[in-house]
Amino acid sequence: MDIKDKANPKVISHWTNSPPYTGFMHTAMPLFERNLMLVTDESTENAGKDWPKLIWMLDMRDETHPVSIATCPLPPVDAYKDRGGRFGAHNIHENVELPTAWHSDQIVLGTFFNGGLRAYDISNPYQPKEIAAFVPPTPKGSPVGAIQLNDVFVDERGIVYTQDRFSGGLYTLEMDF
Amino acid sequence: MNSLFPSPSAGMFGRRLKRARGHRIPVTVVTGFLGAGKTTLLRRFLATPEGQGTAVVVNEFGATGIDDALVRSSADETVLLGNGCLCCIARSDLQQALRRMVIERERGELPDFKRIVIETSGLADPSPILQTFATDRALGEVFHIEAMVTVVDAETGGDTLTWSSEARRQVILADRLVVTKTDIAGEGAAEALAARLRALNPGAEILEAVNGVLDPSRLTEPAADQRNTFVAEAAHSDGIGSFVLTFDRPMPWPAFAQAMDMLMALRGPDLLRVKGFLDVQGCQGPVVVQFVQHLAHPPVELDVWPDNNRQSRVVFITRNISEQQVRDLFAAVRALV
Repeated sequence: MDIKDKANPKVISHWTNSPPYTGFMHTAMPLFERNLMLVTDESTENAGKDWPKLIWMLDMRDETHPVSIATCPLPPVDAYKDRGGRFGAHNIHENVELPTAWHSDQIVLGTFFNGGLRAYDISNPYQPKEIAAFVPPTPKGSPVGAIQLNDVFVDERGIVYTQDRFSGGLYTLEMDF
Repeated sequence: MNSLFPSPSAGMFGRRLKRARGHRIPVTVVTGFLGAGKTTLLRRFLATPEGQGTAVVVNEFGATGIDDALVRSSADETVLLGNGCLCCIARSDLQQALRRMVIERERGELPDFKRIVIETSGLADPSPILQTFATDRALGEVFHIEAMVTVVDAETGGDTLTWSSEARRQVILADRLVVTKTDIAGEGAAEALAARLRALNPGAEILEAVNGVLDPSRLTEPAADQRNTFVAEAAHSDGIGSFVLTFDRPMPWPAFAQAMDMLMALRGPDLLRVKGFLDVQGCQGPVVVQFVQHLAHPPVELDVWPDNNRQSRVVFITRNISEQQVRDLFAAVRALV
């Protein structure tokens, strides 16, 4: 959107993956200095019914013509879809403009419900690489029978906080890569 | 890439890493001659808290799987390779075993392991294992050799070093040397062996383990990239020596790359291992370089220098190549670039 005139925002470009994908676009996170933007879908169905729900990499060199150039690779759907609950993308750490938040245009961390928390090296935006994954065991009291990691935040020290959608509480992790 | 999507936080080698292995799974290679005590050492290590989450790949020589049976109970996973020496017949077995472990872990069929220990057959020359990780790009993306530990027994190790060039190679290439059976060896045997080991590889840390008891960090911590300068002058050193090249000024990357290309092309088989930190012009942190014979690992830049010393230091373990020859080559190439 062009918001120069805040009373009259104007659409300057539009990008969608659905159809053929199944909607529920969730987050758009620009990496201004790199002319890139990350866009996430949200998985909303259990048992992989809406697979694949992805993190998309957009080339934003021309902001009037966003081009999808890659997605962050998911682990094998067959290995996850029947574990219980949802499997697919949702939130990413959004480089919040606060001194208490971690900022990176090289690594993106996202939650994937029963696919856990995954970190990708996006230094080459054409080929994002998974560099870490954290898939905790099923939390006590889970109504779906599997972890459902939902949200993620990384503080200025690089400490990662992620939480289960239902009963698992907060997980605190350190990045060592 | 950087010109299309530039980033102030990436250098000429891509994302800067906190440590040389980045996100890759650390691999410790344990070598040592038959009966030196590798399995005892490993079994003890697996029982410590630091050993938890270790997957063990055992290379067997001979039909019985004794070593495998010993470690299976304590390790998360043990993969038994087929008969033969890891250095020749089973190299592809090793590659397949490691690939399978990654896939099975991703599918949840294997517990999440955080480290791999490769226990080699006693007869193995360890160089091809180092090569495997440099040639197999898929494996090199996932695994990183953190340390090479060679176990030598105080009772018979000295004799073995005399008659076996493989045993000497194991000692010369090691980052750490562990002397075992010092409790049962004759008086003075351990000291005599240590002196021989120091002569073959003065840069390696020499440790002692009785009944396999060793500080677990000696198997898990990355090997220091700095060794003392030495040329092995021991009898039976097979012409193998080691030295450290240091450069006081930042090095233009093309100069270093060209000099190494030439060395690899002309003397590849005699470059047993080259490893170190380089102060590259235009880079903020040290660039970790690693070569095995004619193969180069992709260089990586670290966030920061581990100490305040920005001096380039690269360890060369070579056969019949002198420090002066390599120094002259670098000087000549640098003068041209």
